[in-house]
Amino acid sequence: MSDGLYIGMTAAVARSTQLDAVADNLANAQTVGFKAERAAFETFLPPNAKADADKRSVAAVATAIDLRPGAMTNTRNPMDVLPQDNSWFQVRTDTGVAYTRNGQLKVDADGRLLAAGYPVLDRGGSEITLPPNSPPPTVDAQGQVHVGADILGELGRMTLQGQLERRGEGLYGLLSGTAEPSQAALQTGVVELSNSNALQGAIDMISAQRNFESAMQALQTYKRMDDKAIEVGKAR
Amino acid sequence: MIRSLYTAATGMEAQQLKMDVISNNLANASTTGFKKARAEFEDLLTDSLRSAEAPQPNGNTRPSPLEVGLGVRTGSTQRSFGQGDMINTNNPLDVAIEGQGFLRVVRSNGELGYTRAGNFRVDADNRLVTQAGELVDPAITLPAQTTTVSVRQDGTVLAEVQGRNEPIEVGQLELTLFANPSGLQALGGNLFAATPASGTALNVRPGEQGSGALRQGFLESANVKAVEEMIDMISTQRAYELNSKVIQTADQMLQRLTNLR
Repeated sequence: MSDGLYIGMTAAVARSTQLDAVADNLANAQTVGFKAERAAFETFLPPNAKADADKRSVAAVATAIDLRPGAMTNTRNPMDVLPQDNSWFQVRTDTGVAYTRNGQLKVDADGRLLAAGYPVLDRGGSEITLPPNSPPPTVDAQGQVHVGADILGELGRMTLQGQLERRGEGLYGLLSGTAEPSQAALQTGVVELSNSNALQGAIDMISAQRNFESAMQALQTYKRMDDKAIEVGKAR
Repeated sequence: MIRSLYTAATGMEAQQLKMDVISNNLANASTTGFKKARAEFEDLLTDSLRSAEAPQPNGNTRPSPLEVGLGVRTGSTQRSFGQGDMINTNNPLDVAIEGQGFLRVVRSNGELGYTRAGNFRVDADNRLVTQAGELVDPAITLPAQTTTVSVRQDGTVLAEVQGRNEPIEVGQLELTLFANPSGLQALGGNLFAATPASGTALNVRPGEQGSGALRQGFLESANVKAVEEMIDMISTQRAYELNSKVIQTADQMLQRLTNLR
């Protein structure tokens, strides 16, 4: 069997991973605060290959998160807030602090302010809890949470530097790097739409399919060559 | 590839639900006191194909992971309690709220319900009731032979009775505030019920604590903006189509794979 058969296989596997990423981006085309992912490919040599080998395989090795801001839409809901300058809200989860751009704030049964379903943290890193029997809170452009005439705290905004990972539910974690508090202003009454672009998604989809097909074509050609080799053997 | 089939299916399901929510909003575009809903989505857990520090085939490690998300799910549908437009009806029994409060009524099962629809009428016993006949809480009974009813901004209800010069105070409309109105449960019939998530009901006089003044002779229309819903509808349909294209593409690729043999 030719090595080429296996190289074609790695290409097909890599392209199906790419399609999986495109499918996820398009499924989340309407998810607030969603950041698209892009598969990155790399060629590699099998570990036992000779140094001068010219047959390189391909693999999807990483997914990059596209951190460009998505389009904003006006909701006129005073509890929809969005930090500017690409900064993030901090929330507390069971596995530590996570970051989100989904600023559709809610209040849970204990009066805690939630973002993306988890308690959102203030500038000092603690949760914001409404007093019992309070009227609905409002948030101003400086991130201050008001209930009536009282200020309960200031929503923390963070500037993230470094490698992010997706945690699902609109949450992102820092793999390496730092989170610095930011003074970015908040916009109220708006949400950030998904930044997964339909055009980009459609093109990635076509490219994944065509590359997959050419890998399949290569596999078929190799198969025919092997068939021929067997036929030659039979003739003798 | 099999993964992308299911991922795209979650996408189509989510768009379908969004379409359902949009059509309900549009159907209620002229329902008094209706508050539009929206579907809120969140991305599903991510499949980690390779973690950030896992060794590569060539022996190196890499700072970024290979993660592919598994699609989308609907986290919740949330109601937007933004103010609807005020419509002048000149009907003395129509009351609109200019703020965040809710009018309180007694439901047929005796429990309290909350509504933004102030299109009241008077029942056979001269009591103030909603269009569905629920009593206003606290109950307000108009005297017999009432000629004119007036509702002040602070909720005081006055009645002018035939044969008397001075209007008499017959009751007081109250408003209720919730810390988290989107946690209210919609009961249909323009009514909402309190839940643990909405917070406890805070009963105030109209105008206090941002509950809003009452406007007699006005009704609050639905806060549905037809243009916004149409745009949502278009983007939802396109997203649905793209997700179905993903399924087609994955299917074609699988077919190609099957034909290899």
